[in-house]
Order: sequence, then structure tokens, then C-alpha cells
Amino acid sequence: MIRFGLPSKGRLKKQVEKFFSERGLELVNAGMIREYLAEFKGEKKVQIILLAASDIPLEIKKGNLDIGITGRDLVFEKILDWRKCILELKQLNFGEADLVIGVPQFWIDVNHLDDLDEVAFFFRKKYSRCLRIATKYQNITREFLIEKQVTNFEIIESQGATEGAIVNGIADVIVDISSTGETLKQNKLKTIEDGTLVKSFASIFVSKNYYKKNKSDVELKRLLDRLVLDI
Amino acid sequence: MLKSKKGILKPKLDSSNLGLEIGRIATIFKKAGLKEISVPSLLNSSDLVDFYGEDLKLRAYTTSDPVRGEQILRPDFTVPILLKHLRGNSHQAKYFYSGNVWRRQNFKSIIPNEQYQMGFELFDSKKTKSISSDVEAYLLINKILSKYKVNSVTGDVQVLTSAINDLDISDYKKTSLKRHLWRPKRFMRLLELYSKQKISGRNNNLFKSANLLLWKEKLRGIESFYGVRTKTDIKERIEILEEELSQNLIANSEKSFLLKLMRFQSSLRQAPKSMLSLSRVGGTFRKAIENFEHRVELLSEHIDTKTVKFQVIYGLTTLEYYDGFVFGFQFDHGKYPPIAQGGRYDSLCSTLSKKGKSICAIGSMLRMDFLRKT
Repeated sequence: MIRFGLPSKGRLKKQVEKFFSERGLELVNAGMIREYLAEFKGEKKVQIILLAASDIPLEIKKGNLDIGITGRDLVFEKILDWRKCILELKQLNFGEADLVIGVPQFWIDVNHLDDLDEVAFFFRKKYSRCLRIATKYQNITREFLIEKQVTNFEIIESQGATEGAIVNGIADVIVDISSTGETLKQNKLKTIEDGTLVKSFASIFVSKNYYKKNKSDVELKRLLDRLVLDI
Repeated sequence: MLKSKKGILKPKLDSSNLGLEIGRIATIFKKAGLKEISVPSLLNSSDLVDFYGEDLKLRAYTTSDPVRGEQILRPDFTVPILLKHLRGNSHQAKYFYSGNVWRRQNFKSIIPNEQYQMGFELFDSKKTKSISSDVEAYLLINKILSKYKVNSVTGDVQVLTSAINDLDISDYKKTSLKRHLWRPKRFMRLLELYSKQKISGRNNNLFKSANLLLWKEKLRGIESFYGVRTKTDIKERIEILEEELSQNLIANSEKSFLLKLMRFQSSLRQAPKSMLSLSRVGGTFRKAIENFEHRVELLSEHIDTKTVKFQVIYGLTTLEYYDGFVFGFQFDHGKYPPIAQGGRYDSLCSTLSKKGKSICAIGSMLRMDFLRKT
């Protein structure tokens, strides 16, 4: 049985379904706990498991899933050194989203990372603390800013509604996913020029371990061939 | 057995030999008048992140605790000892320590995640004693390692900061340059931004002159402000940037002097004279070299400083909070991390000392796991 993890809700789920139907694969509910298990019509060898997109990377790493479709941003965030255990089988043309730095629109003097670094230093001098950055993407944010040699920042973990963190007084700046920029605008936030951390989209990921052991398996080969097919 | 360029490398110490070595080193520390100090292995995360910055979390192990909040496994001894010392009443103190530190390593690293370190921190309230403490610190490590075949490298961050202080530019620019000395990419970028001669096509981000007026205009029109950063904060920064437009840029000769200085290396003995001859130099730099020369003279009374290497930027990327004399000791091959590293960290002391205590400090650590049989 091939265990295939897919996002359980949202736009990504719909786009994945469309992707499958273009390749002649139809998702049907299976069994009792129908909401979170499914299969492809006529395919008994593939077990579809529906779960939060953000849980898919770790479940592939742990070996609970063999294949999964999810956002690249989530793989980068959840698994450092992901290339060691996960194969990116195919990049898909949906699920586009950028991980960006958002600052208040009225920070008109902050338009580059240089400015952000300097403002963080002013924070340290004037308010005796670091610039606080709220994000769900702690690992990517930390690595990006350290790589860019920005200093005096502190990451605040945010589980959701990150765009409200500044108004709520939890943080000074946010790092969040933005596909159209609309949410940022509604919350009176703006992006900065070199402040895109990841240009993300959905991809098909396969567990390296699983692939190594089963690459001569006919069923797996048939499924993968179908998935990578360009329509 | 591993081979080094100069022959066969001696095996590492086994646990009983390591125990003997720990005892021997502790005796040397005690005879030198140092007092043993202990600090907890679990430290409060927010205290530490505050001055190491977020980089810490890439290197240190964090643990979660819903009651006490995030705790960090001791990544080094220096900062917790400094904090403990600052909480006490004494100004002058000499401590030594012995114990494990924990650091995440990337998968290619040969440094163990859990390593045994010994080391010391010397605190003083008088800046005038700095040079003699520098010498004391270096000689202490030198004595401990004298039975091993090691080389030493020295550096001096003060030489660089004094050269920056001598530049004919605003304090704003000097401060920015100095605070990024430890981050070469950003430092070089600032050096370019602040220089007269620009690499063509480079975007001058900090000083887009035409925008400043527009920004001021816009700022006046904004009514809703939220968060910690106020309208005044923004206005003040725009004014600083405006002021900077009329300020000097770094002259080409100054910039090439600075770059030459950053590449400078020689024997410790030769360094003061050679650095002075690099270019016409200013008063602060001259003073720093005088101090430097004094230190070399004191060291020369005890060791052959012709065989000690000197590099201006030694340790700049790895020894981040050191801001004066720095040193490292290494076996005859480059593959392993320095067996001992240390340096002066006066500005860290003043940053952390909230009561306005004036404290100077120099310290050093020994990586015990890398000692080998003699």
C-alpha cells in the first residue's frame, strides 16, 4: 500500500483534486472515517490520507507517509536539511505564495533590509530591546535574517492571525505568507524590496527512504509516472 | 590514526588521562589565584537571546517548559559567569570553570555537540590594568598548553575600531561600521555605501535623497500610528538620514587603508611597526598601536613573540563579542578547531552592566575534547 498525504482543506485541496482529475485520477471517500481517508477510484494500492498541509512534511520524514503534496515553504520550515530525507518529485503550478516581511505602512523610512537592520538597532538603543518579529515560520525567518546579517531581532512565535500581531502589540514586524498582498494591505502593512524570504508553490514530495526501497515496485512506478505527466 | 602534514597525530586523551589533565589545569588555575565558579546548565532563554541575538537559537539547544518558559542548555560559560558576577558586589575577580557546554553542530562538523570546556574569566574595574590582564590571560593558556605542540595566533579588534574612529566621517557612519565589524558581508556593504568611489550600478539604499522630502511630506499626512515605534521615531530617523546627506563620505585613500589593515598579518613582534607604516595614520589609531606595542613588549619578556602570529581580523567571525586583544592556540594542522580561544570583551560588560558598573574583562576557554597525548 502506498500512503499518499494530501491537504485536508482549503484552496490547496481543491487545486490538488483538479490536478488529479487532469491525470484521470478521481478521489473517492473510503470507509467509515471518511473525512480523513480516501482512495483513487479503481486504485486499491494507494491509500489517500488527508491531513493539515503543515503536518505533511514531518509525516513524510517520520515515515508515516510515502508521498505527499504540500507547499514548499512548509517543507523548508518544518525540516532543516530536508533534502537529506525528502525527494522533490515535481514542482506544481499552483499554490503560489510568497513568504514576506511585513512592516507597518507608516514606517515610510523602511523599504529595505538595510533600513530594518538600522531600525532594529534604534530599538535596542531607545527601548533597550530587540525588534520583535512575529511569524509561524521561525526557522526560515531566523536563517534568512542571519544569512542577510540583520541584527538585533527576536522571533516571536505566532500560531495564526499573524497579521494582527503588530496592532496587538505583540510584535513590531511580521513574516507571513502572502499570495496577493491583499491581507497585508487590509491590515495596513507593506512589504519591503529585498524582504521576500521564499517564493513558494506546491510540490510533490517523496520519502527518500521509501523511494530507495521501492523504486522497482511496479505500482509505485505507475503512480509516479502518472503524477509527473505534463498535461 | 590520523595523519597531519607534519607526521602522525597523537591519539586523543582517554577518560582517565582527561581526568588527570583536568586536575592539572585546575591546579594551575588555583596557583594563579583563580577561584572556581559554577553556573547552571539550564539558562533562561530570553536573557540570552537578548544579547546573543537570534543566532543563538541556531547554535544552542532550546528546551520547552510551560512553567519556567524556554530554557537553553548552556552554550558557553562566559555570558552566564559575567551575569553572575554583575549580580554580585565585587568588581575585581578571577574565576575559572570546568564543565560541559552544548552546541548544535551541522552534520559535517567534527566538534562534538556536547563538549567539555575549562577556562577562566578575569574581571577588573580599572581600564588601566587591561594590558597586564591581557598578558596574564595569554600566558596562563600558554603555560597550560606548553607541554603540547601548539601554535598561537593573536588579533586585536581595537586596532580596527580605532582606525574607523579616525575616519573623517560622521559618528553615525562610524557607529554603523563598528557595529557590523563581526559581519563581513554587511560591513563591506556599508563600506561601499559610505565610500566616494562606488561600484557602478550599486543601489544606494540608505541615502535616497529625493525620497526624504517625500517621506516627510507623507508622514505629516498619516494619522493612525500603532506599535512601539512612534511618529517622532520615524521623523528623527529621516532627519538623521537628511543630515547624513551633507556629511563626508569615506575618501578612497582611507578606504584602501582600512582594507589593507583588514588583510594585515605578520609576526606579533613585527606587527606594531609594520602597521604604523601602512599609511598616514590618525591619533586614535596611533594610540591603539602604542597600547598594542606595550602589550607585545610585556609578552616578549616571557615568550618569543617572533613565533606568534598576528592577524588584525583574527577571530572576527567566530569570536563575536570580543572587542580587544584576542588569541587562539592550535595544533600543527588546520583541520581541527582551536584548542583554546579567548579575548577581551569590555563592551559586552558595559552593555550588560545595568547599574552602570564599569567592568573590564578578558577570558579564555579550552576545548578539552581536542587535547591529545604528548
